[in-house]
Amino acid sequence: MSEATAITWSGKSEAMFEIMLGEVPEAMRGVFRGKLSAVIAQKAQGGPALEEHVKAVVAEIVPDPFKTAILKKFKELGDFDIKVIDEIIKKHGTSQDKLMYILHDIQDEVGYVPVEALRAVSNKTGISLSTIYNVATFYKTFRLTRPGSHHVKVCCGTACHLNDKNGIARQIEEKVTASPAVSMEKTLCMGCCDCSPAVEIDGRIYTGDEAKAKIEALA
Amino acid sequence: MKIQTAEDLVKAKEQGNKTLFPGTVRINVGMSTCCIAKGADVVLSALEYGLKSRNMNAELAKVGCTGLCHMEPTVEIQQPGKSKIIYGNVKEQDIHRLLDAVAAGSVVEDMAFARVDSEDHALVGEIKYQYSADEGGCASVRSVNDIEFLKAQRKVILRNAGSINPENIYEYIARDGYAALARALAMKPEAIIKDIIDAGLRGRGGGGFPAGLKWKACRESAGPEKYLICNVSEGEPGIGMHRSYLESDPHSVLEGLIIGGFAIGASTAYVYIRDNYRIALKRFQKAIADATELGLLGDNILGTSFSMAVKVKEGGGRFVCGEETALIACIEGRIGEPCQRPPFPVEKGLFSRPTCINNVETWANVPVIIAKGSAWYKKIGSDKSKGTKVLSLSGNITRAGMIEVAMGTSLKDVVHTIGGGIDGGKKLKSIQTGGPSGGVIPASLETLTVDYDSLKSAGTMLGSGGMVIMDETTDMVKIARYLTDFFVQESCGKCVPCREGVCRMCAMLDEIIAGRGTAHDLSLLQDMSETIISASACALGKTAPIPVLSSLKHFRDDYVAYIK
Ligand SMILES: Cc1cc2nc3c(=O)[nH]c(=O)nc-3n(C[C@H](O)[C@H](O)[C@H](O)COP(=O)(O)O)c2cc1C
Ligand code: SF4
Ligand code: FES
Repeated sequence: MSEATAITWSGKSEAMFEIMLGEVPEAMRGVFRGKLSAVIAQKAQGGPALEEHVKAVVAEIVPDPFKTAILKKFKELGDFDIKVIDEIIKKHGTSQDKLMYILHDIQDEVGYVPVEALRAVSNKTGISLSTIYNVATFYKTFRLTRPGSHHVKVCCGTACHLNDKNGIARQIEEKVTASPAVSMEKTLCMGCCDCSPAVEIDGRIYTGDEAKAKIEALA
Repeated sequence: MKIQTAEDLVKAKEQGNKTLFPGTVRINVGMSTCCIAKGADVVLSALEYGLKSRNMNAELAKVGCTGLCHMEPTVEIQQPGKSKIIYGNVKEQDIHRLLDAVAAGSVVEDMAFARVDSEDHALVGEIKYQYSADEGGCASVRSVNDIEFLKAQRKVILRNAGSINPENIYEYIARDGYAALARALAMKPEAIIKDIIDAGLRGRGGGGFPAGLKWKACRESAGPEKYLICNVSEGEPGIGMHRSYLESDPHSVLEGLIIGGFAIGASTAYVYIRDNYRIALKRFQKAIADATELGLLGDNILGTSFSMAVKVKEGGGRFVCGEETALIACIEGRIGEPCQRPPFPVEKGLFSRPTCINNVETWANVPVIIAKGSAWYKKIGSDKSKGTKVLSLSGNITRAGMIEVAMGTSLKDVVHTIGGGIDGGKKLKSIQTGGPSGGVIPASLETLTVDYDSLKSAGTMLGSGGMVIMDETTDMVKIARYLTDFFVQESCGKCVPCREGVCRMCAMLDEIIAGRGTAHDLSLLQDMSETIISASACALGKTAPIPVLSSLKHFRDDYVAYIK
């Protein structure tokens, strides 16, 4: 961390700090790192730096095009709003055949399906929590844990398996072990077998050498 | 505007032709998932920017997949009265030259892949691009008719893929879309079903069950309400053509469903689309909205008393949900465990009502049969398998892509003529047909044809049309291990032979690969396979041992090499 100020981070605060730096232009990063960590340390008053300290600093100091982008990233990473779930249920209704629509929407909104959200869905729809948990865990598409700030999906289909001469699957596994910000998920065929091996990084599919370079660049 | 009469349809057709033949240049950019993965989105924005900064007037169309997946991103440039030129492997930095050529009315010869003078469309017949031979000045570019990849194909289902904008309903109508629907609504439902039976249409999802008979049973089954389901589960690896297809021409599937609804007497259809197929999902939802706005879907379709709704259901990433009873459970919001049949879905299916489930490609065949008649349709294909089949070619092959061939085409033609042989000049070792549930067949069987019965006789299946090509360096034991592991992951876990048995088989394969196998293991694998096949509840378990069985039969040497 910053050489000037020694900070003990708490919870997600360090990850948030790094996200913040990732959003500002590279040339400004060095200055920002030193200056902002000092302010955070000051706010923390000798105690651990909390998530709210990082948030406050972003709101007070960082100028706008970056501020909005950072707050959006925080939202992806951070706490979801129970109100979101109310709206989703209102849109779909409460019968069981709507359950998967609801779970899909929650995952799209929040980035994953937190267990608290399952509980809220159960309260609102009257479907038992065990049924909801059963469905949410049976279908592999639903993630019950928070993905990293970069989420990689690797195709495990036959064509990709055959064509993965460069060992992309292994490269990703190494990356995930090395970097906590990167998470990974194995999926069935992504329907791009003709250009395999296929890798989805943050929502876009890449193939071949481009995929390799992109993974390399992930931090 | 609602389309109600034949004249309205003609008007809509004219509107579609306005963008298909805009009187200025039309540029088609393939924008399917596979194209975007290779950078088509970057090419598209470079084109947009280029056109704007040069103040050029052009119709820039985002089309679907042309099937030329091995040379994506593709750009097609069509200047009024001149041959359409296909450019492959286009990069951002090439756009400048392309637009220079457009401005000059010429062709970038060193980049051009092929020219299209005219096209033979399955429904509208000849579509002419070049009006006189001396115009165009692109005789130096090869004609598409000389390209092997395309020459051996027969495009019926893929007639519009890559040439119309899938998000523009008028362009679909201009290619005689929804004419079959208008025709069907004037027929008796029984007559439509008879046409489908006469045409010999068989289910494209794998089983090859005659679609017309299924429709008939569902129509005759009693129930206050009936449902249709379009199966786009596509969970098995090594396919992808259903996604491409839905992204390229969603209206043809929709039209098939509406005709089916009228014939069977169903008022609601569900389209089950796999998760992660976001582009296909969005395009299909747009197709539903557009068709509803034009009165081709919803209440009083085309001014008749027939009404129907189509709903989209996104899946959850489980292969077993492709099985029809599991799929029904999934739509009902339960976990996708297959149930015992009978009762079959045509008697008691979704929400306990008669339900007709067909594969997406099966539905897409329907408008063609109604438009061209069963006699025309029957002439395509082999003795017992009629029509064409869309295949996805992948693996160690030179020209991968989405292709369509007439049933009865030999695998040799598919692999060598269309696919261009094996990557890197190696030899063919094996072809896997029909996904993991199909078998692996040796190169010596490439005389088999694309046909349900021909492949079945060799112990494999056509399945939904995935063909994975493996070269001589492939270790078939490892492939069998990989495919068996796939079934271990995907078993729903409801019954013991599949849940435990397949798992044990996978562990045995691991032992063999680690060099600890014995000759006894091979006969044990054989025995276990037979037990699992006879004792499993659904077709997933019943096909899980096929990769091991077929590799044991055709590639025993690979196993023996491990055992020593
Ligand atoms: C494990 C399993 C997976 C299946 N996956 C699919 C699939 O992805 N797409 C499909 O159309 N049919 C699939 N089927 C076949 C369906 O159960 C059903 O037979 C088919 O959708 C019927 O349509 P068709 O008669 O038009 O082929 C699968 C069957 C099993 C047992
Ligand atoms: S055979 Fe396998 S997938 Fe089918 S019901 Fe049994 S456990 Fe489930
Ligand atoms: S096998 Fe990887 S995309 Fe199909």
